[in-house]
Amino acid sequence: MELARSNADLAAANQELEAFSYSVSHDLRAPLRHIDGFARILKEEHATQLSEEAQRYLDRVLHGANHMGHLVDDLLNLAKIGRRDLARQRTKLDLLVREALADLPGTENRSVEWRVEPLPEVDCDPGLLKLVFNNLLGNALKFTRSRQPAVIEIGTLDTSGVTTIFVRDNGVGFDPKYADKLFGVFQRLHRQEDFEGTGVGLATVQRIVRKHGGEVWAESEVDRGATFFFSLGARPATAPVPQALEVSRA
Amino acid sequence: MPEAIEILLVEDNPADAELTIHALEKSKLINHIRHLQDGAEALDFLFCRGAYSTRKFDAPPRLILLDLKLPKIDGIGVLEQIKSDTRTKAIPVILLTSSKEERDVARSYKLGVNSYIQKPVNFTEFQDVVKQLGMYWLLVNSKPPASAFSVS
Repeated sequence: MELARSNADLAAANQELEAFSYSVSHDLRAPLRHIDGFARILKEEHATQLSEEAQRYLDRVLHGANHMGHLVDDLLNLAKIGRRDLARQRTKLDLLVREALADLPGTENRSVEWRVEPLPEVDCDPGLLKLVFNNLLGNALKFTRSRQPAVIEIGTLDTSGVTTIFVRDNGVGFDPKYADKLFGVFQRLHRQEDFEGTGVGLATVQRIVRKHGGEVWAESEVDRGATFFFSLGARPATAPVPQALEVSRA
Repeated sequence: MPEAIEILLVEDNPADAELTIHALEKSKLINHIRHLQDGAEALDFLFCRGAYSTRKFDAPPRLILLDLKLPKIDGIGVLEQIKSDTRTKAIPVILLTSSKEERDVARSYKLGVNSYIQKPVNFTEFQDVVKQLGMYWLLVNSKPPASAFSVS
């Protein structure tokens, strides 16, 4: 009886969430389009009638609309992941990493050294796990922007049978004091001015990893790079520090 | 003789309609556009009835740009009626909408939509999309001949 009722409650809650994200996708986008559209027409077709100051304000409007567009998309993706069933299959993580690398923005004018170790084959939802790599590698690239060269390593630790993957960079890092905030939705540890972002990426990573029964965590010090770890089973009791850590800091 | 309609735009939101028409104007594709604001009126227009009973079936629009969310009869309902009647079935219909929810896309294709486009939030991208679709459907694509609308 009780179980049947809580199942019904759950189904109702899921349905509500679905209706909500549908409405977000459709109804929030429309006014955003209008803000962006008319501001752009003003800027591009009526520029001669606008002072420099007015044009700068318009840029602020356009920037705001653009940012909110990304927020809406990211939130929607996060909601979709929540309600999606895992489609597990035997997957070569090497392939996923290669695909994720190909999706990254161009690195012209930057010197980036990728060190990619061979990765194992695991049971996972490849579409979702690729999103994990998209986010972690994208972050590593973003937060090493000031480094010459940026060094980004992808590797694996095998402790007591649980496969743990890590992505390590020599970027700006973060204050470990705030490590627990890293994976919250909309939580950001850097100023928008320094590093753009919506604060949804790592929340998405955590949701995907947890759906796989795993855990994600990170270690860092300000200005000394960051390492993100994720397991696809339980987290090892003591999070091991890989030997190569010092190398990336050199 | 009534002017041939090239594009029928069915869109209830005035801001969206203005932006779409503006984008068409910028792409010089604006010659004969007809803008209607709800699904019921669009169907009256296409099926030459009600306020449009003097229209003739022999001058169908070259292209219908249809929004999904419309008052009275929504875009899916309009699409369904267009595609289930030989007199209108051959008119290319493009859904131009905010949603890319899989169920909307799937339903539209099942009903025979010719193209499904999610309006980008960014107006510059939207303008590109409108230009491309106008070029393709009005210039590249061969329009259905009169015989495509006959019963046999």
